[in-house]
Amino acid sequence: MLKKLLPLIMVFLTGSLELYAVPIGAALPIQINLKPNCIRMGATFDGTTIFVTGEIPVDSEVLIRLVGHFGDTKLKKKGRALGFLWMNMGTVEFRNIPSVFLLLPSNSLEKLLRTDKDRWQKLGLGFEAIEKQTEVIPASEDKHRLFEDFLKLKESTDLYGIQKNRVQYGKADGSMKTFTASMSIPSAIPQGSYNVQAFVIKNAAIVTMAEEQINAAEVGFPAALAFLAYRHATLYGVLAVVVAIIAGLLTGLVFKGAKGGH
Amino acid sequence: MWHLYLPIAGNSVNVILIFGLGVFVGLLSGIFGVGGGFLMTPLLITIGIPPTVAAASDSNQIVGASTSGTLAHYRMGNVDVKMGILLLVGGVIGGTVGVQIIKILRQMGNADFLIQITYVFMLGFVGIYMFMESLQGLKKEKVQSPIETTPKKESSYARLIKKLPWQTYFAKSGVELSILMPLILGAFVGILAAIMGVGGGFIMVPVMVYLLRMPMHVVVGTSLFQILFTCMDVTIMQAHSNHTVDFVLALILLIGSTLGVQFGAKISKKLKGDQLKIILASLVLIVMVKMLLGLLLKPSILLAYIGEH
Repeated sequence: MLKKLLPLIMVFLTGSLELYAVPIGAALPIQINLKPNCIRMGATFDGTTIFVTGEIPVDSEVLIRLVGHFGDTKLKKKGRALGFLWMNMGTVEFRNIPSVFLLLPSNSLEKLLRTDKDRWQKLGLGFEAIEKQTEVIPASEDKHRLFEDFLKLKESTDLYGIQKNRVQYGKADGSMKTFTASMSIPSAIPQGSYNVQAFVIKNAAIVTMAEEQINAAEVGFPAALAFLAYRHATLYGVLAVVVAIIAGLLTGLVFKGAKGGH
Repeated sequence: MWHLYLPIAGNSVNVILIFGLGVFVGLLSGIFGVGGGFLMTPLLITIGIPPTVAAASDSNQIVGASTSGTLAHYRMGNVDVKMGILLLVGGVIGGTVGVQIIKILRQMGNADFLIQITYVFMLGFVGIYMFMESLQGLKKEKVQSPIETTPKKESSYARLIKKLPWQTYFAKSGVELSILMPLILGAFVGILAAIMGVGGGFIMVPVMVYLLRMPMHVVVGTSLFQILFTCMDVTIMQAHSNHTVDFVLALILLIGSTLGVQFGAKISKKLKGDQLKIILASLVLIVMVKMLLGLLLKPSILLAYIGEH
């Protein structure tokens, strides 16, 4: 129980945290369940779907987020050389930015996002909140433009994104209603621990939230191969070369056999 | 369905698509004796493989493709082992020098600028020269002109290389040259290959044809022989230092490319030298134009992952 309440306690204690910029009103804590509760990346892994379920008050909406590890990301910045050639001109570093950031708003919240940007931004749950708390090195007046490009780059591999029409509500039972969110996990998700968060929102204000952790890990053949590649790198390299030569020779022999030799 | 997760690339790929890419690049490798790195790496990046993993895994698949290709060409008597070894020794020396040059350039800043400009100029120069030369060759063949033109420049070049010490006969290529020639030219290609981050096949082929005067069919086999050893070295170094060799990706590519290269070697035997040259020249020019457009047109995203051009 204490574990479930910990995020809420943290939010109250660290009210200055930008990601939870809007104070959460006093409300009953909610619980969420994840199914499956881990992401297993085996040989045939091509992304997966995680179902997030829970109960919220009937007169509120829910927004689900998946947030990856906060760290620093270095990227190449393209600029003009000699006034007309576009090429990599130095690097840009984004400090304290999550590796993965997925948003699943309910339909009403998605409408708010589209039609009332001010109220949406006050919630402090979307990309704007990430942009605010991220530091761009070297400091540049172009921060917004750079962040927009960072988003485009991340969205191209589905590691950042807004997944629409993914939250379904069940029938109301008294003062509560159930919800199910189907979250698409991209195949490019890095291994590690992720926070799945559910924010209960009423009148464009956060009422309460819940958080669960989910782990993404390689299993089976990919895990064994990665172990060899990182722990026995030279052996791995030599094996890769030997297998490639054998494959080349075998194909050569097969072709020679088929033709009856030259 | 048909998807496979690649642990080093950190993404899943469509097996059929990767296999198809392998066959396509293997065909080119077998026909022209180029490793295909200058084509395969950008194609892999396009389908979502990180640039560093794409380049290193491509080297691994080239080991397989060039083993198969070298074997096929060796059986046809198209590999000049003596010339290949000398070029390789020169290439290793040149590659080491090239890596140091890149280090200095990176410290000075703007190494990327020089790399990309070198790429466009080299591709442009090699492509246009080969194209024009082989076009002339094809025209002459059609007219069946008996006049043999020997440009003054070439004869003075021929006189110069005859003056060099340690002349030796290369039986497979049917040329007599100083052993310094393949060593120096191999080193030159090695320097360029290290700076540009490619195997150098597409520079090595014209060097063998125009500067070493080797017949086109022997050029293709010998080039593959030399590429095999270069890529073995690169694969082990990349796996050891950068952990960027995705063996599963390389294996699918090489199953495709080892098949492709066998067909390629047979097509190569059927085509005439000038036809081969003009197709390779067109391919080099297409890549050059694509790179040039990439430099001239404003990109839609001004950020890129490190390692991407």
